[in-house]
Amino acid sequence: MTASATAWISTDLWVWVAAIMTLAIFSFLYRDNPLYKFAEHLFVGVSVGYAIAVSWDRVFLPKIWTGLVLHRQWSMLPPVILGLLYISFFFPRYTWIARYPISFMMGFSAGVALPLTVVTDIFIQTRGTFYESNAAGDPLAPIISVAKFQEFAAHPGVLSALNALYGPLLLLGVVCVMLFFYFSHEQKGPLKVAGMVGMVYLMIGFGASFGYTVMARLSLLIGRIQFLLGEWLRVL
Amino acid sequence: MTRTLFSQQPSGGFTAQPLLWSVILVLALATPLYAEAPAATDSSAAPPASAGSAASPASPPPAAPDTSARQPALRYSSVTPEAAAPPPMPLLPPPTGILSAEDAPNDAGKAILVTWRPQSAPDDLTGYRLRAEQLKPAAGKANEEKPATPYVFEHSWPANQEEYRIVIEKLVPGVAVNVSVQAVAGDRYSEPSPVQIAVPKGNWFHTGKIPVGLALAVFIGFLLIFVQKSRSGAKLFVRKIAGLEAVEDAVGRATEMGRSILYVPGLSSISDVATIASLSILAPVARKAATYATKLIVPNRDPIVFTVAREVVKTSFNQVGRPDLYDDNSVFFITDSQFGFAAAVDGIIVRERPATNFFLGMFWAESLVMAETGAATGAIQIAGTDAVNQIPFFIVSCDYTLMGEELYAASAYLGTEPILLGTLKAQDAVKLLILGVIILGVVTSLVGSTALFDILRPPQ
Repeated sequence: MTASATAWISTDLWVWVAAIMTLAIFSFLYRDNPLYKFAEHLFVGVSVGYAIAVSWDRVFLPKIWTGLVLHRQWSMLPPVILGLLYISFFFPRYTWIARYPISFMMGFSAGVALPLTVVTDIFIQTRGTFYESNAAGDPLAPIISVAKFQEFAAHPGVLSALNALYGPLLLLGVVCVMLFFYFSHEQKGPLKVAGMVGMVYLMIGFGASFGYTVMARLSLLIGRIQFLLGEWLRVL
Repeated sequence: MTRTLFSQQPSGGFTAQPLLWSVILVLALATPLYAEAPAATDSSAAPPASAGSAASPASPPPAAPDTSARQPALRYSSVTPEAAAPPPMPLLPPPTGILSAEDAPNDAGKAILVTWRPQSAPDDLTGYRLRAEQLKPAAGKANEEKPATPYVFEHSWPANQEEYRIVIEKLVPGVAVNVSVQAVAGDRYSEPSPVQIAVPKGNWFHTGKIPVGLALAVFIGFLLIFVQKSRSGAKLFVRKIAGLEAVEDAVGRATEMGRSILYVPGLSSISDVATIASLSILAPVARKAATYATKLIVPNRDPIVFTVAREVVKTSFNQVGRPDLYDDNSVFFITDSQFGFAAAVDGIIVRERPATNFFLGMFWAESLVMAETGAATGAIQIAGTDAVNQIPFFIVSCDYTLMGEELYAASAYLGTEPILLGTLKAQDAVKLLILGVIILGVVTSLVGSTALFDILRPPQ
């Protein structure tokens, strides 16, 4: 075993840096303090510096320098020109020029996002509400089917009941939640009832998601404590 | 043997003849065993007449060298088994069947579709091996002197299907691809089948996206109808949304307390719908802040979103006639690191102590970090996102939370522009349409029809 592995505390400089930074961030739980400020500014500075290095290495050198300057790939020219127009921000009289790349990016992004949203948020969700499918998207069985109720009648039990009710409950939830987000009418009468049922569905879903995510966050906290007590202090 | 040859030299000295014989012998040993050795090599392997005891003067004249009798001795006695190559396996007959190769539909011209329908196969067949080859031309002016490089694609299929289909991608548009199939039986291969040629071509239209186009056309149709109605002065009703009702109060509270407003437009890029919705809400919030002369702080994680946010805020201040209040430094970029950004926003919250925090847009794991810090400072907080996993955290740590669709509706709700209002009404109309499609789908699925399910299949 190496000397550092047998020491009662880590002798690795970078472990010490990581441990001190971790404690500096954790100190925010008490109150804002100079140690946290230092860690915060260091974090932001390092991340910006890293991003600049990555942009230089992954974007500027291969695409602009090698692609456009050395290999004369003219297809790189329009994005380079659009990018350069952003520099007009530094000249108050010509700030308006930056609106061209902004408009282009907004239009392009909306154009890309619209069909994808229709497919992922509408088509796939809608078809999944009335038919089960396999990974390839081929139909397997209807979500609501008489056969499932017949199965429940033949073999009454919790599993067969849940299997039979899964489809109707799913349909009820989808319809009620969509009506909850219907803004064109005041929520009165049946619409109010549907909206309340939709809200119950939403809160059940959010509660499950909350618990699941909190567990994941706790595992992250445990990971940091294991690092501090194990890799740094060597008491674990 | 070599010693015998040397010892029989009349002079007993070292001459060229034994050396020549030994070289010939080494060459003979080195000859591939299963190949037919040249006659000279074979004859050299036989002992010379002067050296062999069988070549006595009384013996009949030596017959022509019998290679068939000598080769086995060479093959098995002079070479170690490890050095011997395995005997050649007999080839399988070429596979019979229908091989078709054609341009893959609905693509940019970089793929072909290969179909193989075998008709007869030997009993010990274990599979098929597909081979496609395209001569890719050298690309780029700097590579003009480089020759075209062959791109070879190989794929193996097990022998248990009636038909095989595969899409071969990463091809060069407009350049022919040669496709052939070999039968495989264990480690034996057949001769390739006759070559099929396909040329990948780009398509202007993706026919699989026609339903998507129709859906968008319907939505745009609704949008135009409702925008026209709104512009013509028709009163379009929108029900109250609690979180948005509180925006006016939240801005007013910051004004009364003489503190700032923090507006975080999410951490995603401009291509995210939630970001676009957030920037739409930023405009009326900035107008209110300018009207009440309240300081507005807008930190950004994405450089493009930052530039848009700055334009939105600047324009809003101009719209209410207070360009003098606009501060370039109030809208700024921090870092694109997720938790670096969260740490910086936390610092802003505890140091600037804004009276009102808006967290509207796309958020990930940092949502609770920022919202909890804001709650600890006593600020009134309005959050909104379409990230389902983050809504629960906003609900527990913020005063008002806009859930998903409410975020999209907010810009229309806060403003009075006909286009935004028409958009909101069109969204509602589409929601009713989708509800109708779902109910129709349930009914058709009960009778066993998958037609509607297939129409809504995502394009491949």
